[in-house]
Amino acid sequence: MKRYTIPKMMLLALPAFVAELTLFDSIRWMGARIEALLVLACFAALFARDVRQGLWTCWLLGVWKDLGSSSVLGVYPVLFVTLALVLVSLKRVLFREHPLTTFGIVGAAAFMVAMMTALLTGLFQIPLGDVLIRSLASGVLTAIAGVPLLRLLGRARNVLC
Amino acid sequence: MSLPIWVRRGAPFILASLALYFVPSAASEKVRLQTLSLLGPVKTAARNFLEAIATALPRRAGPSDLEKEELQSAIFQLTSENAEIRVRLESLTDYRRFIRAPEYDLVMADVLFACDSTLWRHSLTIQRGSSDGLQAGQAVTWRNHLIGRMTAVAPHSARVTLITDPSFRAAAVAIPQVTAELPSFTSREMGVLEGKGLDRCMLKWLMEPSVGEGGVVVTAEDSSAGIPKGLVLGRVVRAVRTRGNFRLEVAPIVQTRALEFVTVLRRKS
Repeated sequence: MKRYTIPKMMLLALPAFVAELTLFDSIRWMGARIEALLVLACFAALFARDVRQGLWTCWLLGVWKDLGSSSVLGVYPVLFVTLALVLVSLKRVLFREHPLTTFGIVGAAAFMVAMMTALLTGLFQIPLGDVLIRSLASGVLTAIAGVPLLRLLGRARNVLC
Repeated sequence: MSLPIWVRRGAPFILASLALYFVPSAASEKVRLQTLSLLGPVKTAARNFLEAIATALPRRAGPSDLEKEELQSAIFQLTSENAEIRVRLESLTDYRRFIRAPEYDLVMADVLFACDSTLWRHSLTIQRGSSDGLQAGQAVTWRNHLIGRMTAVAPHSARVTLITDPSFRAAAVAIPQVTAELPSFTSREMGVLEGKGLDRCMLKWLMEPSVGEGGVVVTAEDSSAGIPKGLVLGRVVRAVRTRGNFRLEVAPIVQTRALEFVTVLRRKS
């Protein structure tokens, strides 16, 4: 089965990063936006050749995401690598190509990443209700966009090799 | 007992990520900003590409129609350039009309990215840096509104922490009883404006409940922190009573995501 190569995934991360900070930021819903790099990280973890490739790609995507953030360096690499570890361990029992599976995985990943970054940004500063609502919105929005995006990436694996 | 292979493989990556926490932010921010400044042409190219697609799509007309369309497009471009220059000029004029702070030079800067990649942080990246005399701590405005404060500066780009960011603090006052002629300054009370990581701020530590009327304007108060007095921060949305003092929820008036340029207040040397 054809997989992907890390340099090509990093090249793909460039337009994804720019789109996330421009196009996707302009179509926010309840303060949340589509997390394009997170969708790429989910794809990288689910369709990696082996554990090592999945972890490397997710770590580098985390560093990419950290470039546009004013938070402490290293937050997203930790979160994306943790996500990769979970997905790599689960991928044998998942039907990865099913839309419901991708919806659930991407949605849960976006929700958890939003919750964790809220925790690291300001535990007592941001009201908990707002954190929950925005994280849920992020999960739903990213999952809705994630299904066609993962399908498209799955079909474009010939190009990513 | 041996750990599963994916845990053993993952440990070095987790440790490497944690090591990044200890990189001094002065160094890491510069690298991040320099890399972001390289993305400026990518963003412009993407915008031009999308515009080119949009203009190329409806082309089913004859040659004379095409010529007419091109002329109309040129007129539209010139009009929009003219409008942009007018907006920039108005922005400077507005600032000079309302704020009397002759000790500052105004530096116009284009916005590279108007948002932060973290959902809870509020910052924007501008295409001016230390080579233009910008420094961390300088106030950033749009017309007579305070947008935020510079927190990191690279040679050709800088990061502006917005007033809605959780790390933002500034002395501010709510100005009650604004009449048609002049604002009344009789019951002004200073508080601390804090960002909440959402699209709102909170003006804290107020003792007077009378200032908490909806629609009241909140302005900057402490010029010693590099923010000239009188810059508008937002409007009061509602008042909240907490343990003997009052808090005012403040909504910024300027939508920072739509900004194309900002003005940095550089202290004259």
